[in-house]
Amino acid sequence: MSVRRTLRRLERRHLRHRGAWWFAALFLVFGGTGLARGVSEIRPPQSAPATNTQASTRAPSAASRVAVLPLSALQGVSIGHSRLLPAEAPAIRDYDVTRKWPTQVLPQQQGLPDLFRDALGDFDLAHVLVWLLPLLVIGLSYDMLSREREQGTLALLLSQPVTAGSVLAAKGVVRLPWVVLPPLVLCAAAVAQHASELTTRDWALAVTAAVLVAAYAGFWLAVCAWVNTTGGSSTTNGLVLGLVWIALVVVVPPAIDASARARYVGPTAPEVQLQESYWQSGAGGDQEEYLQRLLRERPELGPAPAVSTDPYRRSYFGEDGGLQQAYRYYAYQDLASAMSRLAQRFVDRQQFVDRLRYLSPAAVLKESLDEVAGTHERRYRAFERQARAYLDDVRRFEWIRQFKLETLVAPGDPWNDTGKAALLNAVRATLDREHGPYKRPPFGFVEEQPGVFAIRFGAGLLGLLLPTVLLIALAARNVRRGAVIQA
Amino acid sequence: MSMVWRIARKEWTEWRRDGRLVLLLGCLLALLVASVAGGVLAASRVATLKAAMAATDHENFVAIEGQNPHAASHLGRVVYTPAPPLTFLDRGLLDSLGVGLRAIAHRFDGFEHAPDADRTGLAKLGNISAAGVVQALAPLVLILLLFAAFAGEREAGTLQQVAAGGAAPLRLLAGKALAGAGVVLALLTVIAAGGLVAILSTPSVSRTTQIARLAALLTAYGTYLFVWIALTLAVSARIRRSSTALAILVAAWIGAVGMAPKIMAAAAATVHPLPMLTDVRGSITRAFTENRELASTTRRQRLLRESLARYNVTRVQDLPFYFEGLVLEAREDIDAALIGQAWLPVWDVYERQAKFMTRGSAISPLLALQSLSMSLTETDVWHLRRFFDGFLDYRHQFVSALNHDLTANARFEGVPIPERFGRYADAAIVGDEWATYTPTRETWERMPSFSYAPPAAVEALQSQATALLGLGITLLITGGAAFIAVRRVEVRP
Repeated sequence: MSVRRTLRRLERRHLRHRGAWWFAALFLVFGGTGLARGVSEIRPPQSAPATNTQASTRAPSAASRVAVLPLSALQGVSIGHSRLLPAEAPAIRDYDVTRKWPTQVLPQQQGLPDLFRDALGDFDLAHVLVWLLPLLVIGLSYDMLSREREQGTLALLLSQPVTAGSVLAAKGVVRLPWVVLPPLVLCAAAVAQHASELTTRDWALAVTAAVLVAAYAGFWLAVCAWVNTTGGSSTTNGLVLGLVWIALVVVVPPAIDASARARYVGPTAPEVQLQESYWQSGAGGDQEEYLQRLLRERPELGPAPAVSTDPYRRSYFGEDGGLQQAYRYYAYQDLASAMSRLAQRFVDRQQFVDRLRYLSPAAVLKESLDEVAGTHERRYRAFERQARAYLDDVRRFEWIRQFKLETLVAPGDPWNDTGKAALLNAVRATLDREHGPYKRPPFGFVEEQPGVFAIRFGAGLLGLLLPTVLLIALAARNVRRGAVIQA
Repeated sequence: MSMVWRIARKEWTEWRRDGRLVLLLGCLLALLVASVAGGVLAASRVATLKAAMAATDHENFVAIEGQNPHAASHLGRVVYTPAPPLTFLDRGLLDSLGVGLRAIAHRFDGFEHAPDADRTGLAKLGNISAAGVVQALAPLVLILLLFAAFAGEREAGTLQQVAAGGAAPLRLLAGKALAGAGVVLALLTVIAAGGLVAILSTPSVSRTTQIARLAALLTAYGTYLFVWIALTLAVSARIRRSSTALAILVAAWIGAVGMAPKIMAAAAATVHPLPMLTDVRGSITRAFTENRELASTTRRQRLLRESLARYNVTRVQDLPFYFEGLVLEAREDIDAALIGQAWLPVWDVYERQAKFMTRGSAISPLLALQSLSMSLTETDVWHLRRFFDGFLDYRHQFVSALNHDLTANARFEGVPIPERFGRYADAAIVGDEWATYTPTRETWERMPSFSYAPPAAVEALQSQATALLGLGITLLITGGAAFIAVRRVEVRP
């Protein structure tokens, strides 16, 4: 039996002797608990996409539009932004889109804030992998060479026909399954939950996640190997590795978040809402001027609608000759611009995070796991943008109809409870016959292009592999220089 | 110079020599100074932003044109959550709750725009706020500085020499604890300086109250850090090998600081689940609908009879006030009670979750400290509930004042409203009177504004009896353990 094989066998025995099973079991318990927490958080949207159709008894324009972000099969892996950002826009009838203000039709949160979990962070599988996996690696490897040196067995070992480098490599190889298999078991458990529902894309994501987790464990093993070749004592190694863990896992990721938020400050959602309140209060300007401007800019609208002689209808139902419609038209334009800037802020901020995540392997893994789980902020913001674009499209269509509708209601038409509904339906049916109903299909969320996704994952993987290779090279250089033996 | 002081100085010299002082304490202090400075700036920026948004909201409200007071109450006002100066240290639950609440008629949607939703996914991997640095990283630094205090000296053989030199074990303990206390003092000085800057730079707060809260905060943080000093020294004295002592202490830190808060928060959510927001809103909507039906039929008739009898007239148009406004006032009284009832269980669940978290101080002193810290910075459930209750009172006052203005100033001019509009009370108001009564800016400016005075520090501390007890008992246990371990310390290598 070769010396290396003997060495590997002894090392395996040593790991078992020092309780590696307990480390792995504890890690699996935490990971399993995290996975169970993540799975328990999965809640289907309250408005099923099936309701995204119109009621047959009503005029076509009375169709209800529902925008729902579909659940991801691997959502149990990471809770991510799933509790913080809405995945559902309120069901809204086409003609109501023109009556509601823009922020009122956007996706809205269905749950109450979970104060403590929001403040302290979620305990899920992603957290266990990002936070505890490095500690498992460090716990098993912080003294893989220093212990031999302190016990005086390193010199004895090196008197055999093996180099210090091969000793280190053998110890690393022995530890690899101990640090890679437990997280992979957890990843497999996450996949097994929904194995029958997984699409090809989901399988690809699951495999990518497994590769990233293995690479992350490899990175930390490389850090341990490098620290062990610097010649410090086991205690010093433990201290240094602890500090590296604090820096890369605990400090740098939130620092990236804080930098991103400090750099991209406005506009914020409350400010956009205030801007909407400004328009709602009627302080936006003279409605008559807006109407004249609108008729100039949109000649296809024809003459302004007639002003109702009934004050109630004039004020409550906006039969004011198109004054309110014109006012809202320009209010929406202003608000659409603010909301676009808000959306762009999130895009810019995420690009900033994408660039800086390479500073911390923990950030790379966390971002990737959120994406695999479909709970990354990027997906929720994309949903919000798509829902807004969809409803804007409905509004553009319905707005013209609404403007014209006012011209079709004769001043003497009945306007009581039942008469009003009958009248509106009759007018809308006429408009549907003359102009055709809004024909766009129900909302369907469009996922990001697989190519873009793949590039980001590939970059993340490189972000883990390159420092690993660099650390191994540094460790090899230390070994060549004899730092391992001299200390 | 006493022996205790000499021992403390020797520890500091050793830390300086082996580089731990610069590497650990230097990094920690640098991070804390940056966090405190960032926290003070952020707290100031948030306060300024909220004040600016409140001013804009006020301007939007007083600029309302062409609407009667009840229609204005449908636009409403926004009340922003408080921005106390001590949030520079700990923002507690404030960012999870939402930026503001909308005071609006017939509706209540809850808190809007939680700042936590405006964070990237990396935010919760760690906490680099000043509170996070002291709560999580400072104990680790104390562990890394003190884990070898006894075990290391024993391994090196110097503990035996020191003991032979006449140093009593308890004096050794006091000296090494004093060395740790120097670190605590340095950290607390930074927080105190930041706190004073934050308090002095914040207008319109009671500085005496805030300074009292700051002093209590410093005491709580100091006690918490002493728990870790005592624990570290106990383990170091009890365990023979310094590396084993380090492993045990780091494992304790991971459990108590890294995992316990998240696990307890998850457990609190499981044991005391929150109702769905849609259910809360739904119950309010259903109750409002019933209330509206009632207001437009039975209650309206009763009110009408009473009003006609009081003023001795027979027709609604002969009343000296606008009757529909009176109906809306009565309806708002019921609406306000319904909102309070619908949100009562929500806050009860939050309070039960908070108690559950505080009881977790049995497994981690951090949970007791977090509870105290949030309370003293006015960002815990107890304070937020008081703010919320204050808001509900304000919402009722605000909507009632607008309705009352309508009652007092609008006049009935058209055909009898019930005949024309059936059961729609709202529709009735916006009939003829809309055109004839549209208040001016002066009227809007007379409407009540929201003001909130936080409870006194003593009152806040009284709500934290469990946390205080938890932290005190933990200090006694760890201090006692250190005392016993050092009295029985084995000095031979």
